[in-house]
Amino acid sequence: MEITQAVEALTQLLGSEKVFTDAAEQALFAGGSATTGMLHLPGVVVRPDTVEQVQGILEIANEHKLPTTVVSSGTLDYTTHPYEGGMIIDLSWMNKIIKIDEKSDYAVIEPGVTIGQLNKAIRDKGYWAPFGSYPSGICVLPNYCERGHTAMRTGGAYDDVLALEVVTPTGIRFRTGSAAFEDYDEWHTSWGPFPDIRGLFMGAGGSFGVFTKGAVRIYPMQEERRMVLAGFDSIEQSTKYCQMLGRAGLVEQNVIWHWAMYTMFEQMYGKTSLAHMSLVALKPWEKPQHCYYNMVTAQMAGYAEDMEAHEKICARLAKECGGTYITREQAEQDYPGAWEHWKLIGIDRWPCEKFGTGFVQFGAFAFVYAAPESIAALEKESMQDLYEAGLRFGMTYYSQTVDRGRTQSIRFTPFISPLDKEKSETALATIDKFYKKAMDKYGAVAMLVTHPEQRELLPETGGYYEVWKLIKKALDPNNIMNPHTLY
Amino acid sequence: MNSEHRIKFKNLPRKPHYYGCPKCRNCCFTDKEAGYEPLCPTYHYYKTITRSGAGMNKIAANLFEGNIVLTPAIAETVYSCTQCFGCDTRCPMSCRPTRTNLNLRRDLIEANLGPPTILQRRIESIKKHGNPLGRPAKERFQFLPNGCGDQQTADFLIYCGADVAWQDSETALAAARNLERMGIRYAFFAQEDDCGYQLYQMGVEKEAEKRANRQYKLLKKSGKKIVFLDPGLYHYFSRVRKFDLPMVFVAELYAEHISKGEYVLDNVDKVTWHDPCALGRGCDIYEEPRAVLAAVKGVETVEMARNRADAWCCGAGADAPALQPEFASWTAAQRIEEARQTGAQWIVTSCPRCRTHLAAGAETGQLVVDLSVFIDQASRGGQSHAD
Repeated sequence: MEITQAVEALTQLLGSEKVFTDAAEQALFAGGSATTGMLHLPGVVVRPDTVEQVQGILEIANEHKLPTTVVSSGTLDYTTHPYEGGMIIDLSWMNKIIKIDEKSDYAVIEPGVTIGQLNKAIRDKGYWAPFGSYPSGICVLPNYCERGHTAMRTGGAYDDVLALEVVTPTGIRFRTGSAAFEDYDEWHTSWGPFPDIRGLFMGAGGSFGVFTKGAVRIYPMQEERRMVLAGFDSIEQSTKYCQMLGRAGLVEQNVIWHWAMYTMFEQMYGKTSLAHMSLVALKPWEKPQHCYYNMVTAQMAGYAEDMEAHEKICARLAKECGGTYITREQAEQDYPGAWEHWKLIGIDRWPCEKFGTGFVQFGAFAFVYAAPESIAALEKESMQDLYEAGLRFGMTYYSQTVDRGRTQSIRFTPFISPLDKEKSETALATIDKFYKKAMDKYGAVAMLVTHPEQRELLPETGGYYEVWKLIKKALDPNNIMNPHTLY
Repeated sequence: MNSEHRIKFKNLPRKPHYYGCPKCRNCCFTDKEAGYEPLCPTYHYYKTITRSGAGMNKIAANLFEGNIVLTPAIAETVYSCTQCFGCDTRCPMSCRPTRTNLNLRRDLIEANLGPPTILQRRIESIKKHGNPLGRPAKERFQFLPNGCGDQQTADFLIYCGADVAWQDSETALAAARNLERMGIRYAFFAQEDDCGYQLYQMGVEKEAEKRANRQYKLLKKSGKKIVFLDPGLYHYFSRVRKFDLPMVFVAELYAEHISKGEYVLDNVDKVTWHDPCALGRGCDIYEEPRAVLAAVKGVETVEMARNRADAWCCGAGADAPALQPEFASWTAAQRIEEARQTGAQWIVTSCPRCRTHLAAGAETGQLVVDLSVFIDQASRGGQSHAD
């Protein structure tokens, strides 16, 4: 690695205003985009604003064998952590909305476009996009590609990315799906004309190339939008309910909230501080008297008559699953903070502006997809492990059924101070244990493909790993992109 | 990672939010009501998140971890912040980057890396003359032909500050006339001296605190209520130093008394209110000045797209015009253009730095007027005092 010569070449290519080597810039990226502790300082940060510049940067990185990490903002993926003395390609200056296609309901955007930016642009045209509980400053495309999003009825966040423009580590630029033929500016589908290689760049954190444009689905804002609530005494009941909703195609998205998680919203929105007290005092598998063990939010939208009927069906199914249907009025009265949050995201469809309020989150969270029938056992065992590890604020979760109930995610988030090094280490060890158990015992897959525990398991995939290595070697012969992370 | 070699900072406390900040960039943009428009001027001018609230957090975290050390480049970044409090109001994790910025400045001074040379001249002037402008102390109230007034019989003492006294004295004179019309007995605080506000912003904390306490003791001894004309000083006395004094900002006093008179303007149709950072986000005073504007007949008040907590800083904060003139002019130009888009002929504000800085960049036909002057003119049906 010849950083000095590389910086000279980069400056020649981009001009000094796009090449940063000062300590303040290094500091900004030292912890990656994650909230976890400090890791490594990059040697140089570059901010290209055209695809040609990205190509040139990668040529220089190859020439100087410079470990390269691509970031824009916001993901919590380990692949966004820099290498000591390596290069960060910050795509935040590539922030143009190329087009909003109102005939086929998609937007073509550059990777630096933020949630707020896209929201504003599409909202005026009667659209929304599933931004989950992310705040408005986060970038859209990288988060979609890193699976940081909501579970739509079709099968998760990836499905909302239609086509990509990618630059490979050796500088080849190409487009996927219907955008492959550049003479036609059509980005409406991820399929064809040839095998869909879009997946290679999804969830890979820039290990196989840099995406420089992408089309994402946008959805018409329907005339009626509802958030239907139901309370349950166990995760078995709530999972069954969510599967029934999914199978019937009733909802856009549903989320199972553990009591400690949804009562936290009361504090986030300044309604009460009860949640904290309960968390410390109770075991996570117990619950305060005034709460349901799980609350399920079912997000739906459509014509008013349809929604009326859908809500009635939800109430019936909740009862059949042993739960309680909760009216909007009840929710407003009994859980004002949680309702404010759910209404904001599910009914008003705004980005969340209370992300993490009141908590300083230790960023290494545990997030897996498992078969729905495994979720209850995994939940109970994980609760026990977290409790025994003393992670009082880690013993809460949310869970979503995805792809109409075929698979289910569950995410535990330790809310602990990053200043508490001892507890941080305990949290990391507990999370590793969680991943191992979830994968070995329950056949779960980690959401973040590059979590160290998952990475160690990669060779165990046999042929998959062999193919993976071959592809990586073919695309990135000098192994400059996230070296040793995925391979 | 060198956590075992953590630096002991004298002023910068080790806070979890330095580490916990996920760089979501909410601190750089307004909220949904204002359309996610630019909020942090330095982020949008320099186009790097390093110059934002998140940047302050990450610099602090890396300093504590021993990953970086204080350098001139860090100093330049830290001193580029206008301390507009935008990041403080928008951070979803309740970080207070402005406080971090102040603490970093203090430690940069300890490390002999601050303040920048141009500010050192101001510090010398404060120490020598009691103002940062290099003007003799005895000239502070030269603009008052009849002196400061009778402090014994006054209900309120007017606290001007150096910027009003020397650079915007018309505001002080107009405020005096307004109070008189409203039947409020006032006098200018004759013992006014530098209170350390600008030193505090620079990070020269010890001297700032000493000066603030000196002024506080004198004001306390007077037993009078204090009315501030400079929102920076009001924020400093009430929110930073939290002095136990009966204090009010002049716009609050106007809002309370405006109904007692007849206020009409016929030489302007539309005005827009520019929220000074120290008054709005700093002291949460948004509605009082708007109520005052609304009470004036014949004038329509129109809002700029970014208003109240989402207001764009004018670029004059924390000595930015001296330190980064191009940035400060660019920042003002953004605000002036935003005001122009409302169709307002006048930008009304209530801060000497905002007013003079915006006025310097105003377009032809645009006037930047202090609220006190506005009310003074309205009380005379549009005639300026000089007419």
